[in-house]
Amino acid sequence: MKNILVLMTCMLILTGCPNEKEIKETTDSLLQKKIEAMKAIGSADFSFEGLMKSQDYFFDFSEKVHLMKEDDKVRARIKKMIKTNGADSFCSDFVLPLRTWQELSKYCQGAGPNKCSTDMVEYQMILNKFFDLIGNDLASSLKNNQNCN
Amino acid sequence: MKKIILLICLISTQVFAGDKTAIQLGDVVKRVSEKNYNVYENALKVYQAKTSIEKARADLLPRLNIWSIAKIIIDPASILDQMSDIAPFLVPANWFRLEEVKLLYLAEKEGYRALWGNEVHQAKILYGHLVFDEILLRHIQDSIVEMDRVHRIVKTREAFGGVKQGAARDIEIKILGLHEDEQNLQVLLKEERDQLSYVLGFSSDVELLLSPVPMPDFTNLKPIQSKEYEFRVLSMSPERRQFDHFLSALSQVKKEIEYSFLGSSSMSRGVAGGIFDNLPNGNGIGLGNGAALKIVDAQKELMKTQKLGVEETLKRQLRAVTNQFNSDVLNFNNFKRRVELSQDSKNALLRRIQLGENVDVLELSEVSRNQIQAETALIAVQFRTIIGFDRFNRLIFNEDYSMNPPVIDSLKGVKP
Repeated sequence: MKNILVLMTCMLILTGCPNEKEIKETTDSLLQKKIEAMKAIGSADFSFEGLMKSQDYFFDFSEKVHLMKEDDKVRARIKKMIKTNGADSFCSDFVLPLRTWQELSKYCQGAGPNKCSTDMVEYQMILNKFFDLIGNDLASSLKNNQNCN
Repeated sequence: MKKIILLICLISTQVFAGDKTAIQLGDVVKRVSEKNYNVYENALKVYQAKTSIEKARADLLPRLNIWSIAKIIIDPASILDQMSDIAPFLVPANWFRLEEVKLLYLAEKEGYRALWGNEVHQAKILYGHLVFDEILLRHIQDSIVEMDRVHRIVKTREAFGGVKQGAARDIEIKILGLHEDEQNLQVLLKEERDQLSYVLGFSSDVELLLSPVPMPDFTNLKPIQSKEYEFRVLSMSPERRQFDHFLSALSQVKKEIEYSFLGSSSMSRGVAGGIFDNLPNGNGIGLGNGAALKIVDAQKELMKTQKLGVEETLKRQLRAVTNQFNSDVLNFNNFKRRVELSQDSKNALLRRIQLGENVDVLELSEVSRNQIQAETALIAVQFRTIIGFDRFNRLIFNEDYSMNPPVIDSLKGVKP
């Protein structure tokens, strides 16, 4: 029985590895996409290619928020990440500041129908949804952070 | 007895007479969203995909039966054989399956949005065609009346030798041709009405009464630059976004194989997972895993190619729609001028007849035909412009298409 218990503990530790790897891959990829989007919007690159680069971030972010809505575990994981790393680090790593998004929004709302995707147009709304999902305390710490605004 | 038979006849006429329902173009989106059979079917599929997430999550919890408990009591070491039943959460492949189910649910939702958009667009096109054909029918009927008038004049003149023999016969041939057009159009209208009532989810005995389509100010419409909307078309396209979700799900499939040495998953990928059914599962620390990963990589490449195909098709569709729309907008004044000129020509000839001048009646029938054609072309271009702009809105998911299709709870009348 003792052997079984030892074996089960080893299994628990071993099976934790893919979970950690998964989180790292997800966060690295979102960070990379955020950097690309910031670069494109910052240089006012609203060409087809520039917008496509920015779209990668907005699509990924809204996909993650949708998944968070469906899964308590993902919510818990994100909350833990914010608590551990702090609002400053979380905002600068994963959240595209609203002021940057506003630059993009100005281009989108030019003459004629909106020129951007729903993920871009509704970014502020999706971000608010994200704040609702993480709870008031954490949300207010992110809302007050300069890197998120 | 006679009275009773009469009463029965009266009641049966009332019972079997089709209901008449008045609808407007504005009702089409709501009606398609709530009553269209295909939309409802797909809403149910999305509901199944969403519920698959709950199922996959529940499958991570222990699932025991009396025989497995008995086996463990007799032989505690057998607990290791039944690890996937006793502690499915210890098998990483199961978590990846859960992630796949969630991503496939998002893909299913996109598929549903595409289908809903297409059904709404089809219904709006049908509505537009129906109203256009009704106008055309009235136009043909008016033309028949007018040609009859010309025919009478020609017949009288022919009797008195004012026109060459056979002129009345030639005009009668044209009138018969118009009657033929009238009959064909009436048959087409019945077919279109049936198709529209089906798309709008009405029962077959309902007769639809359509309100006119509100016409925009065509002279104020501006051409659309297709290049400016290429990004929006691609980024909003549910067909393309579906592939993005599939590609995300494929990354999970790959991880599932990589970690299969900790056990493989027997969980279903849900209703939307059918497209991955042919992909191999990991089989522990086996030599087949390398090949299985290559198969998944190839599948990823295949889907990227399909996504590229979708993108190129969408770009071409956008260009075709905007080219036609821009051409119609720029040429609208020509169509209008053509109607004015043909009307002037006909009125001038009629005035000359009234003044007793000797007018070539065949010329009069030709002028009348020109006017009919010019008016028909103007109406056709107006409807083509409306439908073209709606197609553009469907491509960029604008206006009526900007909302999300209804979920099953709201379709069943339950608050979601």
